[in-house]
Amino acid sequence: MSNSKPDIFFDGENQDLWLLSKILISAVKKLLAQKGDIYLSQDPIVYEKEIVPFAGRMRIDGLEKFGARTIVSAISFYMDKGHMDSQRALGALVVYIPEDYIARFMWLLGYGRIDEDDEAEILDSCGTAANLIAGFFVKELSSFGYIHLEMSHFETFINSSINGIDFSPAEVVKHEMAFFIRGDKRLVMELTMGRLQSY
Amino acid sequence: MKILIVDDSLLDRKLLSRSLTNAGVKNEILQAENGEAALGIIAQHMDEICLMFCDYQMPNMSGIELMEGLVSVPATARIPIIMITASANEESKQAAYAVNPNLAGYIVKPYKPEEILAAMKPYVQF
Repeated sequence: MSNSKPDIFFDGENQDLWLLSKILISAVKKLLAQKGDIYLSQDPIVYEKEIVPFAGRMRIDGLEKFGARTIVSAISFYMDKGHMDSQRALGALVVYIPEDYIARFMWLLGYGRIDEDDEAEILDSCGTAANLIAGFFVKELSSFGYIHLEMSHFETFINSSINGIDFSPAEVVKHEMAFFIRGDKRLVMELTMGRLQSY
Repeated sequence: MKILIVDDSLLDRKLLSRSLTNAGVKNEILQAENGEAALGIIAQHMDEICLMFCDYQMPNMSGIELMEGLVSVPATARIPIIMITASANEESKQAAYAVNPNLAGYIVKPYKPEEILAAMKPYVQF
């Protein structure tokens, strides 16, 4: 992947989303390798999908990702704290993990044994993982010359969110990518992002 | 003397607590899942808290906001604070030190236990 800083000053939707998705994939790879010595079976394929908005928020649905009970965590991104306080999101990252894999995944990331019968621990696990991924993503964005983004606290749901999540209403598409570990689809992520300034 | 961990992630609180215990830290470890809970604990144990670990991103009251409140009050300004965050950006770090120039440490997740121990060494006896 090229390290050249892209020129992204244009109106309308963020046509740079393909590059941002690659940056996200790079960030995830680094996190998995650094934290858990985990390597992907194959490079994720990125699919563009339409955002389903509802009352100004982005709907998310986890059941369709794995065909099984899925824990979903979302983090919104903001230009700065002022935008975060007024809930004007620039983008969002959604992380989907099948419930029956979360304990194993957190063990691999070094968090020790998760009580799989404790729903609070399971939900918190997904949020913690999403928080780490988002942190690595924001850091990776900076290394590509993009501005620093503020991250929200994670929100976690089982299968889907009735109320949706904060996102940039100017965006109509999101990118979905599946991560395979040891040949099995283990993580799915969605990314949407508005125009992102670079330095 | 007691150590306070403030983090909305249950797993991160458990991980840090375990790291401290495994390192031989004998202090009682208190935990708070958000800023409001942390303030309640601090009010109750103010003179006994020798060190506080604080997450950056938390709902309702961020770690920065919590820290801002604590440093503005002389009685709590003396508590050393180590900030722990998933955000590795320089801007976040500068914001933390701007609020608290005496910040005892700024550690990025995922951290190695050695980083935690090195940061807390001046404040805790092993």
